[in-house]
Amino acid sequence: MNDKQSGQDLQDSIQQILAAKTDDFLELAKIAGLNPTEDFAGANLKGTDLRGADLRGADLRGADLRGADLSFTTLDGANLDGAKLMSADLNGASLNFTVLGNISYQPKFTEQYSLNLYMTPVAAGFPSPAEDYIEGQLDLNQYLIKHPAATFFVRVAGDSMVGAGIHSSDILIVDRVLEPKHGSIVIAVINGELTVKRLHLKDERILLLAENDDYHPLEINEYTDFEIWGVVTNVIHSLC
Amino acid sequence: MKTDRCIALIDCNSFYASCEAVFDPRLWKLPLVVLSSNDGCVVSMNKPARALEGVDKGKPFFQIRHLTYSGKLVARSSNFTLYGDMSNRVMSTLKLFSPAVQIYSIDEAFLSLEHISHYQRTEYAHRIRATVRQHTGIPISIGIAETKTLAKVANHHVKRIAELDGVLDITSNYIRQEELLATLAVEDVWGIGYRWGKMLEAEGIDTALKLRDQLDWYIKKHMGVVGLRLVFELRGISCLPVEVHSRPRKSCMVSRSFGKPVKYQRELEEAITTFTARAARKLRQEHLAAGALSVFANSSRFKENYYSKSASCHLLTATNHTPVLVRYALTIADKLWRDDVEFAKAGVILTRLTDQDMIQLSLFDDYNSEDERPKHLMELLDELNERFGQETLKFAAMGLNKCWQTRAQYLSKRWTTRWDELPLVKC
Repeated sequence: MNDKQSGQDLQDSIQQILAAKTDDFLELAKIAGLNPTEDFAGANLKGTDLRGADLRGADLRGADLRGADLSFTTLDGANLDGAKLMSADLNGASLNFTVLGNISYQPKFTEQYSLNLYMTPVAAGFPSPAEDYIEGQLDLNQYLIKHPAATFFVRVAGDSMVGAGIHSSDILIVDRVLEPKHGSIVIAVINGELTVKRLHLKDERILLLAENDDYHPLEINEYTDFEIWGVVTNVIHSLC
Repeated sequence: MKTDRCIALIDCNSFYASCEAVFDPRLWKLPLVVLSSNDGCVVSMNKPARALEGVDKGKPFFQIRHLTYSGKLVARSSNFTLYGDMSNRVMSTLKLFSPAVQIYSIDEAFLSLEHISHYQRTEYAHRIRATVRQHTGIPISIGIAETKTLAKVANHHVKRIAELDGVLDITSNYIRQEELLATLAVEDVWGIGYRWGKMLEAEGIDTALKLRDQLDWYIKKHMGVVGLRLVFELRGISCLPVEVHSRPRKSCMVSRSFGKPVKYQRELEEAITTFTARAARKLRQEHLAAGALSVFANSSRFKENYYSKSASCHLLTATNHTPVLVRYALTIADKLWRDDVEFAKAGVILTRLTDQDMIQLSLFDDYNSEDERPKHLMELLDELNERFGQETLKFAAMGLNKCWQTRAQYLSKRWTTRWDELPLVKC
């Protein structure tokens, strides 16, 4: 009976927390019936948003505050002995008479790219169910560029490759690591000029083919000043 | 003791000229010179330009400008945005080939090749060369030896002998080493320089070989421990290891020649403010703060009544906050100013650098370390200028017209770092 009732209480407070219109950690703690100065020793407060919170005299011994935003909090007289503060943001926090023994703290590294890691406010004991599944954002660079040191962008001028989906003023991604093969779309140097064409390598002939009937193929012979500059991997074509 | 040390010196061939030619391939064949800042003199030239009579490194540009009118020569202003980016690409490609790479300058790097057995080394070096050329377009030369100084010697010869195809390994090849050292002027040995060169020549030591075979006590007496180390290196005893970690910066200088003589104090102040702001930005990027600041200014060396003066001051509290540094810099600039001088060049040097998070507070300064606003302001400034381009947001004291600005009349595009300046391909 007792268990059932406390189970019911728990359900209620979860409902209340979910329904709460606030993201404020202290408010949420209050709804959960917790006292921030007493009930968070050893708590899991990873990634919690505590901006500007008043945590004077709070007992946060051994709390896991990794990635928490503690900027401009008042931690005067608080006990953070053994707390984990890796990547926590302590910008502007007030730390008078705070106990800071045994903490692990690495200042927040601001030059990293901003990965959207769980900033959902978490009340003690009820972490977000998504927390373990967050993977960071999709990165187009990672998707489109396999060899950053050898990848260049160029802009298209002309319509000879319309058939291959390459239009004037599109941006091409060029990877110089890739070996040009029969059928590759390549940037070639012809008489000192950069040009984009489809490479034809068959029957001991080298041809540069346009993808537009208005243009003739160009046969490369021993007298042509010719070099492959790189292989085109993607077209960036703006639709608006 | 380890005896199998093996170091390669990688040097990009005519680096600035090559960077230009990667994006404008006509320039592999047309004679090309790249000019120093302010389009003053030739700092880099390609092979076809070297073949032209009267065109040399260091030549003042105005003496050969007429060649550009007739199309015999192409000139480019220094495009450091492009060269910096291409240098990064070359260096990260080199890191594919060795666990220990020391970036020595914008176009040179030392690579440890200890992990490659001696009979595969030349082939491996050719592969490095081909890979860098394919990935970045930049041609390089490779000299390999037991020590950095000998690797430099090998590299010096590689460029002069086309048959070597860009690679020379003289490790353990003592006969070849003697040959090369015998034909190398002592002044061209890495680290000797003009002053020691003249001194040694006067003593009859005119080749690298003669220097190598001097007695230790003699070298130590005339050139100290640094000189002795250098001679040991020539003997194949490595004293200068490949340093993978860059040493912390000791100072930060920004200086420029003016595009036209500066005759008004207002203009000099604009220039000094601009240089200070750039230097402060560099410090913030590296999380450093300056404890002292010097300013120098001079008139043209080629005109009468050459005037050159510099002054420095210590800051009460080290900082990287632009307005504070500018205030100090302008106080000094005021002392350098003379109404009867036409200034040709000026610069700002920030020294006594410390970690910005470990600043020693001063007893007499009203600096408030709790006040985060100056820091936030600088962060905002840097972020905006990074995203929208240099000097999108700037201090008014940096000037609006900047008619003193360095000349760069023949600047190519920033092909690799600006969306609106990408190379065009014909289609």
